[in-house]
Amino acid sequence: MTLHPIRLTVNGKSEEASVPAAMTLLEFLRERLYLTGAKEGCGAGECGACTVLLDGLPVTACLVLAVEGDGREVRTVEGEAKATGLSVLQRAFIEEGAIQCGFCTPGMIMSARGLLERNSNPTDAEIVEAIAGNLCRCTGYEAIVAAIRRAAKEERDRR
Amino acid sequence: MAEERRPAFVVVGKNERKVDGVALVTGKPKFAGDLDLPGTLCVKILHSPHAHARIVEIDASEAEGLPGVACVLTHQNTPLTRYTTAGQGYPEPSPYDARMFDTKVRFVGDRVAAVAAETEEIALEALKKIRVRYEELPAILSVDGALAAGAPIIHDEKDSPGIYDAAKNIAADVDIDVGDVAQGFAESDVIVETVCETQYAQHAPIEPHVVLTNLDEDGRLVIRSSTQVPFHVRRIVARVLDVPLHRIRVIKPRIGGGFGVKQEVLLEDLAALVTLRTGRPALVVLSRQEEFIASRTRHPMRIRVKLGARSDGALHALEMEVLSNTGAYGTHALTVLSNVGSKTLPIYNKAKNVHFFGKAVYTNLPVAGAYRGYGATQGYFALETAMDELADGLGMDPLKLRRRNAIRVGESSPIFEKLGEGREGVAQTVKSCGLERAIELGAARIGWEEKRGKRPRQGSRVRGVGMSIHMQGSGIPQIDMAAATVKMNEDGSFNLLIGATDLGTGSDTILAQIAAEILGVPVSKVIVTSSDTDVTPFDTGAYASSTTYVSGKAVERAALAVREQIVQVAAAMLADDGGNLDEARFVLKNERAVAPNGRGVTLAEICQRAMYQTGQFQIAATASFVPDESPPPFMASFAEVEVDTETGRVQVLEYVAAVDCGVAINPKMAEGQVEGSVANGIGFALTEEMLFSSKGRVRNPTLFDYKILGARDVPPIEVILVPSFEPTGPVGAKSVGEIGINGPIPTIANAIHDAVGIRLTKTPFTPERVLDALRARRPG
Amino acid sequence: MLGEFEYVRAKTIKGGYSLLAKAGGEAAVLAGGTDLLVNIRAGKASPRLLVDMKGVKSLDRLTFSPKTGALIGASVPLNTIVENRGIRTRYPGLAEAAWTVGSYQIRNRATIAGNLCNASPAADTAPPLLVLDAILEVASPRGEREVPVRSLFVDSKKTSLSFDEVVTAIRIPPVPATTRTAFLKRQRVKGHDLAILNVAGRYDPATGDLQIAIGSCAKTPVLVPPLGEPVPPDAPIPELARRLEALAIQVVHPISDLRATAEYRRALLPVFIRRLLEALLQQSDHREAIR
Repeated sequence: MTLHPIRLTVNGKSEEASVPAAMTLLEFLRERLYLTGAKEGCGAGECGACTVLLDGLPVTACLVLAVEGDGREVRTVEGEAKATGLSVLQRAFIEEGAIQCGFCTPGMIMSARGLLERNSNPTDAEIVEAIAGNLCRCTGYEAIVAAIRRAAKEERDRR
Repeated sequence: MAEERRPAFVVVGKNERKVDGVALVTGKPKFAGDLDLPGTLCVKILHSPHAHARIVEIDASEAEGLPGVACVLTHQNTPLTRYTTAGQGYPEPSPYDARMFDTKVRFVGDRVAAVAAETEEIALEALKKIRVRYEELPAILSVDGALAAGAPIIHDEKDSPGIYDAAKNIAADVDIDVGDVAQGFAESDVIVETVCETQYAQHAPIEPHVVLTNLDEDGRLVIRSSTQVPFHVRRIVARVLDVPLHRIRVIKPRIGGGFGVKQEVLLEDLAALVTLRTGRPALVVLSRQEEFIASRTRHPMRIRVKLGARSDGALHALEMEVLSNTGAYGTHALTVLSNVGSKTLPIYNKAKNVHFFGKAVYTNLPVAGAYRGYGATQGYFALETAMDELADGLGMDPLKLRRRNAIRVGESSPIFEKLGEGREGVAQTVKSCGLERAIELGAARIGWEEKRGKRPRQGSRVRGVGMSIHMQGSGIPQIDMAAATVKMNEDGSFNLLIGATDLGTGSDTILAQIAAEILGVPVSKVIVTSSDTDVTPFDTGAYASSTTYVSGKAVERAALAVREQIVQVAAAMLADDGGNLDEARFVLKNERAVAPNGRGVTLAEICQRAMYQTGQFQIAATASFVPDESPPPFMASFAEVEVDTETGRVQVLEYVAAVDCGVAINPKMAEGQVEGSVANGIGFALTEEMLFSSKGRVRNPTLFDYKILGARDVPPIEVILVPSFEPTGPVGAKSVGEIGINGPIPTIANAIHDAVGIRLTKTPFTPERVLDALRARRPG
Repeated sequence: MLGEFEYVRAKTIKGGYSLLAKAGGEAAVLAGGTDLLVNIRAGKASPRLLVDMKGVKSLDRLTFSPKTGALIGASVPLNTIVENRGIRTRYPGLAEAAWTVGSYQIRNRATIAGNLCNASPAADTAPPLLVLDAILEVASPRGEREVPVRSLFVDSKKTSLSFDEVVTAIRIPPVPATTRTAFLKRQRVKGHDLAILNVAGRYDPATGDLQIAIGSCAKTPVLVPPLGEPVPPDAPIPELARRLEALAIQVVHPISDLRATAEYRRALLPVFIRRLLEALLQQSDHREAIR
């Protein structure tokens, strides 16, 4: 089994590793870097619980090979909070009751972060579109949409 | 009626933030699969490819010899003990028909063997090297097939106690009656009868089952499991593996959803045995495919309801007959079957003649178990469909018919006493009921009057509205027990130790709110530790909608006991003032204990004194609660749907759930419970279905082909909390975890009927079924 | 881990097809991975080597001009196509089809080339590309060639490409500004799903030229045989739909699968043909019918 050297940035920090071809980015994040925020819910790109930002774009890490991460920038939920505290988005999730079991939450937050970076004033339909690939079995999505809507407004107001 | 008694709350009734919110939103390693213990072995399971077969020979030698394999388990080297995997109180009302590994397999997916290895790849490789010779047996893939004369016997073993009639494949049987139903029908002016069928559905929690076991520094077995029932896990694993119970510790970390599928001792025995045999930590994680095939499902059912009523709409006779498919093993068979009646029939308590009977039948199909709603979901489909038909037959508005017959405060139903969970129930009187108001508010919100019967059409699409009413329960009376410990710290904070199991439901938070309310502190001063069998007192676990009501009452009692101790110390501290301070009139508020004369001391001062200064003792109390009754939450459920008559597609345009759960301790969380359960119920009604091959194999064990609702599919769901006050509940509360899921199927079915006049009696209401029904209805 | 395979990053197109050639059919191109990696994990595919060509600069360009049409590099992700102004204005049916594939996350990785080469009968980009007469530009040790999309699909999950051929781009010929394209898809849910039925059409009211294609109803996506005469914009739709349906049933052969029965597909077909015509001729808002 050949090992491939990779160098990538994860949450702003430079990482170097040697990975087998068949290791997914999700496995790399969880098992090598102990960033367990991204979850495995299905392993097939269906549930979105493994969503991370790859060069700023939301992707399902279970379908990205770790080697494909070479030279790229990855952001996970562990990088969302700042030194000053939780991000506006994270606080909105808490305030709106958008977290029940919390298993889908990291993926939801990264999909939402990706959305807010490309569209700071999304309509409800655009919010739904952005999280349509993130399954939640607990909340029925209302509170999650409310949280993202609220965070979008607060982030706009801050500018 | 309830409002007069209600005190003004400080913390209860507020949308307090989830106590574990920060950890979850920052992705902290809180779930069982996030923990990393050095040397952890990966455990993989070999599943049966056959629906029904004997294991004639099993040879694991080649697998065992593979480098990196630590052990292989088969029926040849594991305990023979029969048990039930059902996470229920002892003695469990489910047959002991399972073994860790049996010599027979009874469904495609049944356990054949397991391998523990250094890596997942080695474990999977080793599975392939296990040689198994099967003798295939004829398989039963339907309840009718199971009951047919000459059908093969699925549980032909002689050592499984608790099966109702194994020779006939009947796992459980229930038959109760009130009055004389035949006479009742004879006396009725209008009779309707309907037969409804529900499908195999799966909970699909986003986190599959996961268990991590290890031996701690003292050689005790520690089980970390995504489980709803940590205490039942401890007891059952102890018995099955013949390990002293006190050598086992079960810890529940955060759970990524359960909904009943984790009210089961599914994998803990496996991981634990690997750890005991190898001395190493063991991790079992189900793949999504295994989660569908080899965990648990809802019980598919066929339910016949016959209603007889007088011409003024008064129900007079009610017959409900249930045929439940319990799959290959009887876990929860009897109790789910009983619940079909016990959580539905009392709502129409005016019917003097009732006959409820049914069977739970074995088949060679995936194992059904506990699933939110627990039989009531299936029961309400049949009952509320029949009620709608009855309204039709009487020419009466469905709302009016419900109002005419629904149970009210101060009333009882003979069903409460006759039908419990697997045995006789407990008589009770309804002490809080917001159903009338729920119907009123829900009808107004959906626009019932304006929309009912109008059938507005736009192109090929027609709209309609439907409704249904529901009750559930709050715990299992006289059986469930919950306990809580409250202990004080010298800064005026408290540790709340509860056995109660938060599976994302927010119980840690609302139980902390109850304690905080009584102790006069903010929620942040209540530190919750839950579901650790070494540290927290007993709790049956998260099921039967028990946590708010039963665990909540235990917390209330413990907090009140601690309050008493606090006041005693406070009174002693203030006693130098002379005069008697009436402890009963002390108030705990804003982290202070204030005497009737207005003088007070801080909680911190009180505890410091008790801990270090005078007459020292630990301010703490443990209290338990066993409920005498199971006060039902109530719900009126409404929906507006649009049916595309060209394609058969049904869209829910709007859904309204008006719910009475007594005092909502945390309204936002209560709403969240209802929103989530309604969304799940809509999936159950419209899109979710497990499909099988002719050999009993699940054809769609993926989230790709088993469609649960995503954000684009969920309609606007409006939850209206209808306040009431349950005098037997903690701070007036009842539970709310399950009731929401029971609404969508009958509500949507009734709305479809309003829109296009077809009566669908088989779920899910796929476009194909709708189109077929529409075509059958058209003349020519 | 997903399975057992090796990985290599090709630096050039030639490097890419040389690797495929050398592996003698046991290698596969890793585009977005959203089909291939799922299939590998499910045991439905087991290439020994994955060749990643996403680093080849020329493959990630999307160019469009009204005069020359569109040239979509093989590595261009679907979201780029969905969001591209030129594609949205001139080939809206293609943009809509791309938009229905998977979820936003999937579309940040999945490519048209991958969608086509996976050759599912339900491939969403196939019907619009068929009616637009799109062409695949393909390279191999034997040189470059063009493969019209209408010659691409041979069977379910099988293309006419040989194992050492690499798609470098999809070229869509220019269409007059008057041309309309539309796409409809029926799914089990509105979220992420494969089609039960998907149809695309192209119509130019100036010339009366009408072409429709149907997916998920045969072993491959298929073009419906042409009417053979121009269709005026005020042509009565029910009549037109009936004639097209008669042509369509010559080339479709719906089967029953996990998503729908053959009978249901057959029942939906005339409805969707009619709705497609309404979208093309009357420019009705058909977005309701997508998903």
